[in-house]
Amino acid sequence: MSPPPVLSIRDVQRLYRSGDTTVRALDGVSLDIHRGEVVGISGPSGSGKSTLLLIAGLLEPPSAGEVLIDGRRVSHPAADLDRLRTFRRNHIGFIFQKANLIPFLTAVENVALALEIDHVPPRAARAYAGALLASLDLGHRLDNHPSRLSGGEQQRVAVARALANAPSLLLADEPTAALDSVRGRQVLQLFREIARTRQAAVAVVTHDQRALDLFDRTIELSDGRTRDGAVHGTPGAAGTH
Amino acid sequence: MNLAFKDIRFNLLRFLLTALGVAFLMMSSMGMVGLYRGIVADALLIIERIGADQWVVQGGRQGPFSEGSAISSTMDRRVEGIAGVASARRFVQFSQQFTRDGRQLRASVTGLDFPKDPGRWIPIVRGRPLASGHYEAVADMSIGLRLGEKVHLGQDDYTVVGLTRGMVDTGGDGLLFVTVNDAVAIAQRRTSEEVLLARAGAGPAAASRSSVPQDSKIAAVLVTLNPAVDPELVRRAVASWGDANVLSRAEQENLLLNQRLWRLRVQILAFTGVLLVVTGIVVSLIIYMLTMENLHEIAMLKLIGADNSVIIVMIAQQAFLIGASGLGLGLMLSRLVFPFFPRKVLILPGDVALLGIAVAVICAFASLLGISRALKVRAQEVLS
Repeated sequence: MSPPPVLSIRDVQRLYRSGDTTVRALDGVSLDIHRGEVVGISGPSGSGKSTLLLIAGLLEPPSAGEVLIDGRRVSHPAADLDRLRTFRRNHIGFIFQKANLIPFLTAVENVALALEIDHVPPRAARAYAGALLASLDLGHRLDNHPSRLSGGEQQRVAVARALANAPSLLLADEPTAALDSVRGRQVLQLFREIARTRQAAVAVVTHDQRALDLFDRTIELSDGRTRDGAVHGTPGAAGTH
Repeated sequence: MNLAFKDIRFNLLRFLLTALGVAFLMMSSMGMVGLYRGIVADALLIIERIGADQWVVQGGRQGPFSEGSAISSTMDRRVEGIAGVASARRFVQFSQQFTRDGRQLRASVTGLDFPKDPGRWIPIVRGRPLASGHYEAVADMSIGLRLGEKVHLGQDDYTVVGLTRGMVDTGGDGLLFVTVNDAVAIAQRRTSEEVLLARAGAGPAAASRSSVPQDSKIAAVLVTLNPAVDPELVRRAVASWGDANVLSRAEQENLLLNQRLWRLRVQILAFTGVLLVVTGIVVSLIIYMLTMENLHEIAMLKLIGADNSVIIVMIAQQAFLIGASGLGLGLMLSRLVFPFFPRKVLILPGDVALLGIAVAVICAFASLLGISRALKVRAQEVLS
């Protein structure tokens, strides 16, 4: 029997009330992402990409449908997401357009913090964070504050922080938008490497059409739905690039 | 990892300036409380130091501090005759203005019943107590006189043989100790015209213009009782004369604090209360604003799965560090600045401890404000 998908979104709806009208941000979206897979989620502004990411990341509950992570039903309309903080910490890593590093912590402290929050002793957390940053070619920047790092370096620190607790699911929202095309491709190649070596599932929301070739699959959203015929690639067929 | 310390170290200047602002508020609060304590201490100084168990004053009056008192200069001999009285000393005190090198100086001339009382109870910091029955003075430094200096009072010159520090009267004027006889002579100084008018039969009118009543020489008699005697017996004996009244040390203190200085005390305490409320509001706002500045980081902490306790500890630690630094810095500034103030500002450990508790309560309240706001932050606000 094949293992369950890391992320399984089933018939998810997300409705927002705006005055007397109801906006359907997501309308019956289903999606599975397996271990080692890098999936691109694209679509025009307002198509529901970011909402999908928030629901997949257990930051917002769906209005209908359910979210399963590693085969566990974790989010549904009645879910108390605040109680899922520990689950989120251990299963999901986030990367955003902005690195969102904590400005008063150094690069290594930003990464170690994610581990210390998970009750890893400080010395061990710092050592592991240092090794993780070194593996991302940031060994010489450990003690620099974010303000002393370039945009690309900051983004790699954010990637290291997202990987610190060895999550099975990595969610990235426009991670290349603030980078030039070369740096952008480098980050996506890093995701591919992470998916391969750590057997993590990676979902990347992107506008960047130039990077679509780096995904195992792309899913295009439009008006809160998966566009017909817009799923490219085969689910579970990871690592073909 | 201590996030509060990391934030403070990274934004050290902001923290120091914030702590300095809080320190000035603390200093002001300490100053108001210290001023109150100083006024009370100054008022009680002579009563506590002079070592009298009872004060015999003018009949029907409650002098010499809360109202005027004038008794016969031989009253001490009558008092000494009462059974149970160990000693009786004459006492007089009045304000005197005089000129030195063209400058007007003020002093509270206080008479010591020399040789019974050469003033050994006076805390002399330089020089010596009185050693002669006439023309010597022990002056408080706040008057502005130097050791060995001669000062012209009444019609005589007095040599300053000793200096004290912090010996002042209720109004803050430095005490100038001379013998009772000299003090009476200084008080009785009259112009030649006054003397002539007195001789011409206008005595009472002329005398009434002098600084103390002329038919009485002293303000009070200080009584020291034998340890075994019942003070009430002495009181009754003096009261039976009809022309004198007896006040205990506790009654003198009560008269000063709860009658003469009552309005001033209430006024200062009211200002202190207002200042503490303002301090509380400002410190709370400062800590709340610091929390608001960190909202994005707090959202990020939530996103990466930090428990609420991590956020609560960070905000509370910062609040208490600001409060503690402000209090410590305020105390340091107070010790540096207040000695230069013209009136005594007394900072007592108990008051500092109480202020510390007030700061802790303020910080706890401010933390609660910040924490309640921080806990409302949603992790997805990182994206906004």
